Amino acid sequence: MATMSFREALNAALDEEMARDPKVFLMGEEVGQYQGAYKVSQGLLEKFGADRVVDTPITELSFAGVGIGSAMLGLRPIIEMMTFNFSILALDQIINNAAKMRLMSGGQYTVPIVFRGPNGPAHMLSAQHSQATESWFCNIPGLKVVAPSTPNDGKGLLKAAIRDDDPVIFLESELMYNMKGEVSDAADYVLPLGKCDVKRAGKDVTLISFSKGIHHALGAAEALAQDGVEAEVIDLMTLRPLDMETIARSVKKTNRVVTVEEGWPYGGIGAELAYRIQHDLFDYLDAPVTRVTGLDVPMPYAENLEELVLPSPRDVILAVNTVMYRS
Amino acid sequence: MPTIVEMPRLTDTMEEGTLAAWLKGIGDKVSAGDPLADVETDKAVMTFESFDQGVLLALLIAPGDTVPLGAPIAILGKAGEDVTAVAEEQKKRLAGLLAGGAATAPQQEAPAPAKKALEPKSVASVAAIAQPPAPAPTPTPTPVSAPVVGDRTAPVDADGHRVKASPLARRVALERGVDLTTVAGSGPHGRIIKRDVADLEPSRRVAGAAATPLVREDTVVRVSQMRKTIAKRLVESKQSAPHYYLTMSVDADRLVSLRAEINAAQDRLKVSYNDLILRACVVALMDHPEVNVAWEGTTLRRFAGVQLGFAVALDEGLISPVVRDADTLGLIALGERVRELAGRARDQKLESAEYTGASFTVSNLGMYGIDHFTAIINPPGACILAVGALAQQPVVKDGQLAVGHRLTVTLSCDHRAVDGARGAAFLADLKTILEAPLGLLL
Amino acid sequence: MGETQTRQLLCDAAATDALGRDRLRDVFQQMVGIRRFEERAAREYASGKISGFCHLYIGQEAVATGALAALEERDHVITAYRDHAHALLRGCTPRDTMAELFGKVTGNARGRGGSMHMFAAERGFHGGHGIVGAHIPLATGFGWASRYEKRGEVTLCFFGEGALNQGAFYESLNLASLWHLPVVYIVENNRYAMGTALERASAVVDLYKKAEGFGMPGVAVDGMDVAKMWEVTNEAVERARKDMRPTFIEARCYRYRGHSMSDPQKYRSKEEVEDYKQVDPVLLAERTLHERGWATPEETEAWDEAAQEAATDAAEFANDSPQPRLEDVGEYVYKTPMQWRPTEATTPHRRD
Repeated sequence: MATMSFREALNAALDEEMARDPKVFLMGEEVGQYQGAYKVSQGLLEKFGADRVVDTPITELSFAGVGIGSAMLGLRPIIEMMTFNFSILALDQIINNAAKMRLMSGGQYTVPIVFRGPNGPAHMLSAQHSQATESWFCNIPGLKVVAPSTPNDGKGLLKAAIRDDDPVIFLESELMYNMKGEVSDAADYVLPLGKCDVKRAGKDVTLISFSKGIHHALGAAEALAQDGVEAEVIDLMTLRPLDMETIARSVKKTNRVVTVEEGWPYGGIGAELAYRIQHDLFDYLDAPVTRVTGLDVPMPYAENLEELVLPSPRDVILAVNTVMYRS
Repeated sequence: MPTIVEMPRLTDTMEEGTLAAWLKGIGDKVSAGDPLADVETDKAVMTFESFDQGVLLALLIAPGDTVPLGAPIAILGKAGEDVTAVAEEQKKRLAGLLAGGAATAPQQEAPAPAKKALEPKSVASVAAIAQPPAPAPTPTPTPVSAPVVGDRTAPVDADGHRVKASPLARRVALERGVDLTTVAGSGPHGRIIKRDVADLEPSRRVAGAAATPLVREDTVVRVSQMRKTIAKRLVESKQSAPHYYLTMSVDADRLVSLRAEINAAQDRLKVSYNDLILRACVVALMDHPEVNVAWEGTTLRRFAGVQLGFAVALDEGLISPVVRDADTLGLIALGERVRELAGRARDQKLESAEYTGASFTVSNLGMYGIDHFTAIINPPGACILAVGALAQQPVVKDGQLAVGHRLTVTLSCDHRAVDGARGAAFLADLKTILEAPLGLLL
Repeated sequence: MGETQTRQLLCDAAATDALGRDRLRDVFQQMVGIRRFEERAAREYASGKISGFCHLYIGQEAVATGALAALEERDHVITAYRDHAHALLRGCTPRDTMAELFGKVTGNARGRGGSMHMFAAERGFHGGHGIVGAHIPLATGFGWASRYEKRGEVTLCFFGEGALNQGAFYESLNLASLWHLPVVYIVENNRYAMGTALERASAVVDLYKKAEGFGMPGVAVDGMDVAKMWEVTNEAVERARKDMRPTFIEARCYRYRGHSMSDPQKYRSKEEVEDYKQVDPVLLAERTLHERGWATPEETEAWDEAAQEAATDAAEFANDSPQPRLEDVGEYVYKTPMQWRPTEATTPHRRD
């Protein structure tokens, strides 16, 4: 194990996979000469050259499409969205081309592409640059959606995403790039897609989250433990497809669920989790599934309003109290 | 061989077309791709270009006519070809289509199926789609007794209010046989949650009997929690209570005549043999309190009054309502109470207190023609009387063969509570009372 | 109508010389095959066997036929939703193309794509795309893959003139020129984007001039002339293969049918359509064959009959083919077919 930042862990994953497979290349705005807007691609241009670390004009739609086209012919592109706020310009390509090509052609295409970059609210960027996009992508059959919460998971999952033969949306977090953690330096360290990770074991209530939300959940769990409540924290890691087995095992034990996400509530990840849990595990619930989400407004700039909009460990504790019938 | 031109589908959504104008006249030569007619569709007036070639020999519809897709509208053929017969045939087919019927559609292919999008989905029955080949349904057990148990469905309390319980609490209640109507919920708005049912003392749990019917064919049916309780209690009874059985034949001639007299004398209640037998048991038990008892392990409970259970057959199974303090009721009042309880048992409206705690039980299968049988004791009472059919039989009276009414009863006793001699003495008195039944009216 | 109106009703002489006898005979047969196939499709649509959107290529046959004649086996083709012809020219059979229109499992996309999404990936035909302009980036990606792996392959990307006002067009041609990608972009300018005439939608009507803005060669060509179409494309393909330079070709053509099957065509006059039928691309090629003595009328007649038969056979095959199996609805979504869980909301029957 080695201690490294999230940014370094992702960089290591890109480096290793590009070295491993010449069909892998990185394309996006400022990924080469500038060394990456968030420095995730630092040093890669020097190592792999301009043919494999490709700077693009500011044209998300077309370079997303170029990536998809090249994947249809067998390359394994990694398309960096400087932030996922700009992926909206490329949604037509991602939804109509990447996700659907296999089906529309009756199985003639494999589209092994990764769209990656920072996602989710950041700090004081107002409405257009600070939002969670995961629920949009999760709605699309044909896509896989991954959102790691630790440097170690980030590395193992990004390598898996690059090797996967389906299009993967890989969601990082600007505010976590500096987070440090122990990262495996095993020769071929890859985590499976489609599996949850139990980040903390507990018996009284299940907290389900992903990405930055995991840290709100873990913070709440620590505080609750002082109070004698043992929360189990499940990190989805892959948001689509969902690993319902791990979730079911936990819910059967705790009978209570709180979901935590930074995105908007309507049609969010928590909404899907609540549906599946009430459907599959109805008889194991002792309280309604409860969500902690961002507030249902575009992100305001002012710091105090931003803080109000975003979920916090305190919100998680309040939700836990509700599902545990604690006053 | 003439070609029949049919109303084409010119838009994806059109179901019928109205002829706006013919663009060719009879006798005109038509090539494939030539504009043949303007047709008004659901979207616009569109030009119909012919798929076929030939000379236009007959027009079957006129401008303004509206016909369904696939309907014949014109006939193409060779110059001078006689198509009178074909035209007649096609006109008939067209008339049929317009009338809504299939009509005679001779050698032509069936009319094109109209676009399905806007048709109501034709489905044989809603039930046919309601249950696709899904996993074998788990039958929801119907509680025989009314406001009882933690069923999966929301139970209803005595006042008809929905009992609020979390799904988990319902499941736990079902497993433990807990009556949710007796539980106070500690959750929001009085919701019963797991902790409210998990640690309940046994007295809150449901007793009582229920049964699930078995269907004609071999079907594996998941038994209800009620049924499991019944089974458990019967096994417990049969295994823990050392049963012995006493059988006696009763001369019922006077019972028969008495019943006739009673029913002739009053209109309040049509007294049945069962009423008379129940009343006879009550009278006999008043004289034999040592039989009106329950074995409780280290103690023996001698009941203050006669808590008379009687078995009622239901469609779903068997239940034994209890007439409280039957020794305070006369024959008619007892009969009325029995009918009232039996009626509510059949409507599944008994409360649990009304079918638990019998000190003595009577099970009568006489109506089925059973000669005699032995019954399993229905706790807590130590004895149960099994009553066979009252029937005419050849009997010996004063050394002569005669025809008489006979009835066979069998008493099952818990030997721990009632010794053989005591049981026999009770039964002998019961026989006496039944054979000289005037005392039943006292 | 300009130039097509005034010239004689033959294919361009120099281009025909360059194309040669054998290739003209070939492309003529391909064009007749497309024409008869599309007529059959229209007929099957009218009888209710084909549903949804169905965009016919009748009138535009010379564009795809001439252009594709300039390709090698290893090259790539992608187009928009008016794609039956491109499919037939590039690896799809009349049978599997008609079966796709019928929504049958024997279709070239196994009944998953329909009229707008035909594919023959192995033969380098990459669809069949329904969002106007959105496949132009994909073509650019094919070019990028060719360059990345130095494959020497060329991509032909077709789209209608309606796509020229989409951002995807501008972004893609800029990238192709910037990155030196071997892609030939061909706009099939049939003058109407659905019902909107070119001059009502584009500030510049000489579309080839737009190439200048990307620093790439732009050329206009008579898209009714299969020989000319071949000649211009051939030049562009060579430029792409040898010099890694993209080209933008404006093929001026005309569709005789409506935009799709349910188009009442109120935006143009019947006279205009009849005028263009004078320069029907199939007739031009046929006249040229006869004129030059490269084919007898009997031969062209026989080819036409063969095309009719192939179309009839295709319709019969499609009609007799089975639909996809219901239990396969989860196929082709992910590489590993989805395991439908009967308790999940996402089951085909939504058994909730």
